Amino acid sequence: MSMGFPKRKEAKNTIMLTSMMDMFTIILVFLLFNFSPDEQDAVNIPKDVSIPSSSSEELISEAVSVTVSQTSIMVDNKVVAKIRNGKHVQARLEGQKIVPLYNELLRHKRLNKFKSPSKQKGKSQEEDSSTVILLQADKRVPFELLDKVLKSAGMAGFPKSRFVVLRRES
Amino acid sequence: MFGQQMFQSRASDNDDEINLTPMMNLFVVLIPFLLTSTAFVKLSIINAAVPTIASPSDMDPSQSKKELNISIRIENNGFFLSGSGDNLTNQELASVRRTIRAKSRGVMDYANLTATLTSIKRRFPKGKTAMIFPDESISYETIVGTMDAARWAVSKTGSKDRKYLYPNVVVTSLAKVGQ
Repeated sequence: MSMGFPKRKEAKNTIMLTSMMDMFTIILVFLLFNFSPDEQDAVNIPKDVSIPSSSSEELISEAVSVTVSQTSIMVDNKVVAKIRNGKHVQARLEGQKIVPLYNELLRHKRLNKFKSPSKQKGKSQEEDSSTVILLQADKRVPFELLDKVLKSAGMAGFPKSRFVVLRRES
Repeated sequence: MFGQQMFQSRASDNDDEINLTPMMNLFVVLIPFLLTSTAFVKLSIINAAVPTIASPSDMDPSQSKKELNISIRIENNGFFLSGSGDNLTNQELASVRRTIRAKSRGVMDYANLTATLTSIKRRFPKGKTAMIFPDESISYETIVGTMDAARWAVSKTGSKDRKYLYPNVVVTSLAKVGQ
């Protein structure tokens, strides 16, 4: 009589894959329906910015992005001014104009990087993205600060803005 | 004897299964790819503008027919509506002046605003622009909520009939005396 472990019972090593296949098929179909690869390429929202939701159905399009969080103002992910207590701009101000933001937007205006002839062909002046900013602001930001940002952008040659919002399905 | 054995094994082990492994491999590759590139949060935009000085040549003469543009002042205690338009009488302008009180401090009555704007739009169907003047302390969320309330009309049955109210929005602050 041997003292070793009892011999394991011989079993065929096939896993039942059918139920797993069912699950994968459902997931695959769901993901294919939600697949929209290009939509979010234009924006990159930082983690500390929670944008508001809206019933607007207009699709997002490319423009110079201005992000207003509770701590900073950014132009294309480059910090141009810090914010204290959620509303006080820690940068040089000239009346309503935030000078570093104005200068940065002016630089973008000069580079005019979004006005490539191929892209703008056939578009009306209204759709021309060279005078538009894509504003991604935190929902708690007070208008006092937002007004300064919008006016600085307006003075730098960007009188129109597109507010980025989460689409609320209605 | 041999035939009997084969028949028995087929019945017990169910050997006629399809080989799912290549399909599984495909799925395992496809699913992570789709998961990383799927946008679960859908984004959209609201077009807004700051007021600019227009030259007289920019003015469209066809716009001058009883076109009423609405002004919405947002304060912590509610909305204050007023109208503006070139060919409207003072009486007509006074008739659209309304106050919509907030439900409580900071909690706005958006449904009431939409209903009021719908009734104004019915009387003055022309005009698409809403000027929004928020108070300094008003949050961005409230401003977006107001734009939403001013965008779509609500039909009498209560459901959205997808008619635009004032989709063009101009956001600005009221000029202060002495500034």
